[in-house]
Amino acid sequence: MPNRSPFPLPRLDAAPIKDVARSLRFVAERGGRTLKQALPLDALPEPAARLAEGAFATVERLGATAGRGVSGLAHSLLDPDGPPPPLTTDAADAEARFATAMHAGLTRALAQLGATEALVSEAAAERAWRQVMAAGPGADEAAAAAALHQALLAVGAVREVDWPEDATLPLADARGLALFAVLLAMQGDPGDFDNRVAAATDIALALRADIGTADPARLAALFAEFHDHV
Amino acid sequence: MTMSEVQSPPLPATTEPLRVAIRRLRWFRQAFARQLEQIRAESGLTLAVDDRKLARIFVDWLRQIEAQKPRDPTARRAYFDFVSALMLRDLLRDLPLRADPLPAHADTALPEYFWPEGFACTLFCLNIRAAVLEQEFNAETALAPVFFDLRSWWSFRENVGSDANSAMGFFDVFTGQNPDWQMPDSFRHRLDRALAGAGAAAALD
Repeated sequence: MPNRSPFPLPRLDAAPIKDVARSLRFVAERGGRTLKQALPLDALPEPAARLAEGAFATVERLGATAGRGVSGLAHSLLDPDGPPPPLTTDAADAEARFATAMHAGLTRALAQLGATEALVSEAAAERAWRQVMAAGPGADEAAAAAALHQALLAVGAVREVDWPEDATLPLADARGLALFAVLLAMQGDPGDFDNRVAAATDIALALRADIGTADPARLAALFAEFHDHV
Repeated sequence: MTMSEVQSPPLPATTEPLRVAIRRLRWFRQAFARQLEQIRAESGLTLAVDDRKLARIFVDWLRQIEAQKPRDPTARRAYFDFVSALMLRDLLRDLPLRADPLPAHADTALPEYFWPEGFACTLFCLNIRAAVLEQEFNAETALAPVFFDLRSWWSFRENVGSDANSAMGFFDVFTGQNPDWQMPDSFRHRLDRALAGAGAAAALD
């Protein structure tokens, strides 16, 4: 007799698990950095200095272990390297593929723009995708990209960013530019995604004045203008 | 390398026509990098690229050439000359690259050592133009003798320093064409001049 479950199992959404893993790692790493900057280790006498260094190592280990453990589970649930889906598709796996690619792309784009660390939520990206698909994205990929840009901003897909204090580009601008870049890179040929994001990020930066003030119609026009030029 | 040995670098592989590939930033960057690598290999010159600046130049250039694209298919050949010259104008205006100190053996009587950044940008635009014209029109291109004359490069550099548009006129001179010094960044003006020139020549026949 075949070994079958009497009830169909619900589909396990890996995005929240990945988000938890990444949040733990992000908080642990940021906490470690903050502690190191805040505490005058050099001024501490022994054995206090040794104890403090031991405490740092414990914090860092904790974050890394938590991150690795949950991340390993999440990665076993979903192929992390799949290409992004077309932005107008209603394929069953499109939501998860979109969120995975959005995470990878946003992390890449924000780093290129100057972020030292970034925390991107796949669950939020999935939520944005569902919102846009529920509204009916139509057949126009540029219009769908513009709607996704607005939705991703609204749901806060970029959760946290460590941004240099002396950066000339404000973080608020960088979020919008990174989203534009990844959505631009997702249009057209899905291959070579990482290089497409790199090029699209520099295009977005060059279009900073346009993107910063663009309404959805203008954003769609910008996507249509540049999607063949990445 | 001497100026009599100008060679085209191998362009990045693409399944698209070059006129399409050049309007993709990834291909454009790769082609530019290969040009610089060829110059380095042949002259010892090293040039560092500012990728962000290069992307900004690319975007500005793209918008200008799209805005001036002719509907008349008979204007395509002139248009490719124009967009190549315009690319040079934009590259030289904002210079997205910086040369390291000259190698010990550098002879500053040669254009590549006299003005490395200008030389690299000019060679890139010349080579892209030559490759596109060969692919689109099966046309061979040649450089005018004045390209190899250092005095041209003195004048070229000085003029571009005060008016970047003049780069387009020099580009035309280097490619053996009749330069438009008045409104070189207007394709319409370039076409009108060509038509007027053809009309005058016909009247003399």
